[in-house]
Amino acid sequence: MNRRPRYGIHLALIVVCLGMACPALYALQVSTLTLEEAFTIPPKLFPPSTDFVSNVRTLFDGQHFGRLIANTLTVALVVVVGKTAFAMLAGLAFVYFQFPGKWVLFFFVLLTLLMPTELLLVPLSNLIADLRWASDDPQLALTMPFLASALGVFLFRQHFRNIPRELLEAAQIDGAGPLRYLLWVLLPMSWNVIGAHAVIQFISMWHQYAWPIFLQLSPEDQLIQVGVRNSVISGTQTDFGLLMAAGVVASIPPLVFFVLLQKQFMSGFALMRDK
Amino acid sequence: MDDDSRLPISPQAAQRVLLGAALGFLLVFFVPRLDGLAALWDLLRDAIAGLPGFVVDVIDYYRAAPGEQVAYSALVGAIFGAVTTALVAGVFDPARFAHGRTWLAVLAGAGAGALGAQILMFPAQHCTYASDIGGAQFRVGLVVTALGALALLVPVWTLLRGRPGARVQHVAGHFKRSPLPYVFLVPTVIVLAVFLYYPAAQIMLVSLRRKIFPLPQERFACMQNYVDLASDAVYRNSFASTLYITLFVVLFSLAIALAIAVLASQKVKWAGVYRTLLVWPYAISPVVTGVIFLSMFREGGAGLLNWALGSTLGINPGWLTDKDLAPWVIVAASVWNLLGFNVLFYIAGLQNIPTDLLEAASLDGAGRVRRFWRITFPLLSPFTFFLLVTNVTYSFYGIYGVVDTLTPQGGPRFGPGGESGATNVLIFKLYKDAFDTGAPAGLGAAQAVVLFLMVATFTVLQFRFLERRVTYEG
Amino acid sequence: MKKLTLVIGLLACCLAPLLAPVGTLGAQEAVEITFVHIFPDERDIRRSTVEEIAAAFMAENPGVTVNVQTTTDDYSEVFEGALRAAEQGNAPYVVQIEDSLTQIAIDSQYFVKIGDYASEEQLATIPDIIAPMRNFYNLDDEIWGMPWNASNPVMFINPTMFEAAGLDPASPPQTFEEITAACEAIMSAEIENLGGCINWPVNSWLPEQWLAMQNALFVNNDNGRSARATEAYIDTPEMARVFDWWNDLDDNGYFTYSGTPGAYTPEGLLFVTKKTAIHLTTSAAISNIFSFAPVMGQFTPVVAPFPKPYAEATNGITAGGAAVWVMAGHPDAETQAAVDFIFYLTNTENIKTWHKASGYFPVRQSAIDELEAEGWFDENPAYFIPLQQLLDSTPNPANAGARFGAASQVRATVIDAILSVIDNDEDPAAAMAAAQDRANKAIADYNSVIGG
Repeated sequence: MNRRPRYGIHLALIVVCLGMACPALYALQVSTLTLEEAFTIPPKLFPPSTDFVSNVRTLFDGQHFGRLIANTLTVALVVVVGKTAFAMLAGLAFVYFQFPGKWVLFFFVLLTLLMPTELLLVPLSNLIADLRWASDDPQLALTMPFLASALGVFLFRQHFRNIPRELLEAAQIDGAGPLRYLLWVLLPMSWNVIGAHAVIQFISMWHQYAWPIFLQLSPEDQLIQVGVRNSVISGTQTDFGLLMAAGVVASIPPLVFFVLLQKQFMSGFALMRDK
Repeated sequence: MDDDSRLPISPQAAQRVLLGAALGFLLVFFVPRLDGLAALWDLLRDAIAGLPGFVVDVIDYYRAAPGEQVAYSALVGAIFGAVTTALVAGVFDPARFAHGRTWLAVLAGAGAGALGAQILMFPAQHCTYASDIGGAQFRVGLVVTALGALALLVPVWTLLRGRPGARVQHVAGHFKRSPLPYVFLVPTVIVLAVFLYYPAAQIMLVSLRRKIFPLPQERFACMQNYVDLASDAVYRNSFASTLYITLFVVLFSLAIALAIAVLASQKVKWAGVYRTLLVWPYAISPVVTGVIFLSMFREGGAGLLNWALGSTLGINPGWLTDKDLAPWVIVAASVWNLLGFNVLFYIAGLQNIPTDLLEAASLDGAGRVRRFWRITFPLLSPFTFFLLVTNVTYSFYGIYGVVDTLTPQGGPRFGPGGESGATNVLIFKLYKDAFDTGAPAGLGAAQAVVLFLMVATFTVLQFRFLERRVTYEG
Repeated sequence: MKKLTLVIGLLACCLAPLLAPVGTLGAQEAVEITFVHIFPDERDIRRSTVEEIAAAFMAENPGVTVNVQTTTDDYSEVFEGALRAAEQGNAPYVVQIEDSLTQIAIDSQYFVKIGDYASEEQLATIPDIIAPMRNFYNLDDEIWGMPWNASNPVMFINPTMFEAAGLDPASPPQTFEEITAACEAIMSAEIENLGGCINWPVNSWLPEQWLAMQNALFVNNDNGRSARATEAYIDTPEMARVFDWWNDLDDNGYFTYSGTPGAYTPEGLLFVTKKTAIHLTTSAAISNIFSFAPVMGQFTPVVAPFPKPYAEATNGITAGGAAVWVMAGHPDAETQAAVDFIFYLTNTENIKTWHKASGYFPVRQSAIDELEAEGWFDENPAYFIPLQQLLDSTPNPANAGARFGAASQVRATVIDAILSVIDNDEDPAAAMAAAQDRANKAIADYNSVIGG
């Protein structure tokens, strides 16, 4: 094969990667600037300045970023684990059982594809008010509405349907009940799908913005994106250095999660297509 | 798990550990919060206990309701049901539809239509069939009746159609009959019913009322909110802005992502590294994207873009203050946000294109471009289809974080009296109307219902038409 | 292997402190109240002053803890936040409510009349509040909240630029015509780096001031005071004077602004960094402008009374700002503590401190008298000019200020109309007509819901 075009492709790829990274690199650079430096003309693009650490410290001390990150991490992990568990159970029920009302229940779940949480924020917050969750237990309000979704159910249903039925027969011969079958046969075969699902759900929960705002939680109970938004306080002047630092800090956990589960994420979706 | 040999413990043990940790984690989270969960349990119990009362209310209502209003709604529903069933029966295999007895199907359709119409007309108290109702509201009422009828007609059609091959029982592929499937479905059903169905019903009810936050009073207004929306110039502009922005976001993000994915799917060293480097922006949230672009598109020489433009072209556009430019900043931010996700899926799709097909085509003399459009692109259609749905969903809902950060007032104004905002997209206006002090909350709810219908229609249409054209491999 | 699972489970349980819900501590014996205000910037001296006053209150009342909270500088966000939190059972206690939100706050039924909880002693201090404030808040009839931070519109000029243009900084322009003439001179003097001649925050408050000066109402029924307002007065000759002049200034390049509506601080920054020669703003910004101008612009600004539309428009101005209210739904003991805190916050001594630190004028006559006696106004004449303008106005419905439920919607309508004129070159008459329409609809909608 001709060697030379490969360098061209490498070059093109590097250019594209840098281009994609441009906004983020810019944010990283600005997050090191002080309040005044962020307003200089021409903008200070290189080398990075020294204020990153002090900006981050302001975020963690003055704006309780530490608590916000902890809250968001907890909420995201609870939803990931809970949603996966419920979706797998539902998938198990739909694929491996025949029972009266199966299609009604399936339609019931299907219909919720058309009921996005984003449109239901106001009645949801009234419901949460009736349950007194925002005052007594904000993290329940942040997690419970997301513990089930049609997408998760369909994902696992599809995946289970692709698994050969012979495995079930073999398990039944061994005398395994549904739960043992789920845990010891299906689960080991599902890590890719679980990984992919986990990444999507984690990132989706990490990005939650409108819902925590609607709930009017006290500042220590809020989630990280609200914290980032609050850093845009234009009291005296927008401190762009602080703001970019907030964006950078807020993006590290999902990036880490993504990189860790990358392989599962990439291969999990190959299994999503109908075979 | 892959690296079996490198783990210090066996995969089964690792799985046990993981399961134990997951279970432990959930317990540690929920056990201290049992009080909160108890509140939910109480709510469910009260709801179930209230069911007989609800049934009595329905009966009382129908006893007391003006007869002709109910009759009209049933009539309209029946006509709609009969006509649509006749059409559907004609379109699908008439022989199999209700075993060829079309008149029976039409009758069933009429009945389902009349009954279904009541689903939506009952909460509206049949108000659009009152004698003194305005023309506009009456027309809206007709649409609502039809929608209610549809809700019952679709399952009836599915039943009448019969399901080929559904009778074949994979007896060998199922567990014995037991109550277990219900148990497994309980958590999902409860969460969906309480946190999706119930609020959805609430929002439909609120859309029938005039309500202003924070006033405690509210007034039943029949379909007035919907009529007002139709005649509201601000809403129409919001609609237009949303479609405009969505179109470009989807177009650009899909096209650019496809190009990048093709580039990244070439067989080079470190392809995996490149792929990671292209996909990670997916982890950046809309809010953070907005914040970064806010800094980049600042006016004056301190913003990155205006500095670049100023020093090269000598222009200094007010990106966020010009009504023609502001939507483009939103588009740019959204496209960047979506690129990672789209690239990922396109790469996955490209990886599954069988190389033998492409080689055969190149042997036949087809150039790269032709190979791409004739073979690769059609084979990518399931992915394009999936990405289309997710990108549109993002442009309708997720874009709120971007808009609220870049243009918290809804963008530069236009229209007489400056009433419309250039980036006042539907979801943004909806939240403002539903949430702001003094804003009409009922109108916000009506907007939510309309938006829901729009996206639902779009999704259903996509499923129906695109899926027919989508080619699957093998 | 089962042991391993058990161990992991136990380890997970050690995460309990992180995951357990916060706030279910044992009931505290002391009373704890919260106070939400709009000065979130940590460098803001107003924020530290509030915290000092709260600390002093706690020292005098050992059974009470005052938790001062602030996350936003937006009055409507504070209002909405407090109401939503109240819906969720988390209502704050003392909330800073903007003047235009008075009617809707009353109608919401989420607040208590602090007059019902005030002691004889506290009630006796009400007549000490200056007349315009008592007038605006109707304190003589019912006390919902206590006025706390009040300000007037005021004008700043840059004397160096005036001299460069051949104008006398000691006699600043006082009418629309005079300002236009002054701007002509200033712009032709070709001062470097000048962005425009005059700037001010784009909001509805300043136009309402110009209406009040012309003895014109903003809404009907005596500005909503004799009965609920049913229509707005936007498409009127008095408002046209304002719009036409504004449009004129903008067309000539005399008027400029920061690009964000209602942004007091960025507008102030434009002035202190010598981008404009004349600046209209709230008297609450006096302290900040006087401290930043010498540093950032190397000049000492001159304060002047707020300009009138024409020389005979002497009906006076209305005060703007906010009052402190108490939310309903709390036990009596805590509500009482909150009311006590409010009267403490607004007592003579603290009002003096607050005025000196912030520039908001003292709402109590006793405070004004004491400051005069101390010679404060002699040393700082700038602080007295806006106050004088207010005290000189004879109270009537026009300068009492508008009070109606749909205020935030209507004010937004006015702002939109102005922005369409200055940003999009819309014809002022068309913009006002459109705004009038929308405003009337909003008012009608509000009244139809509140019924009665």
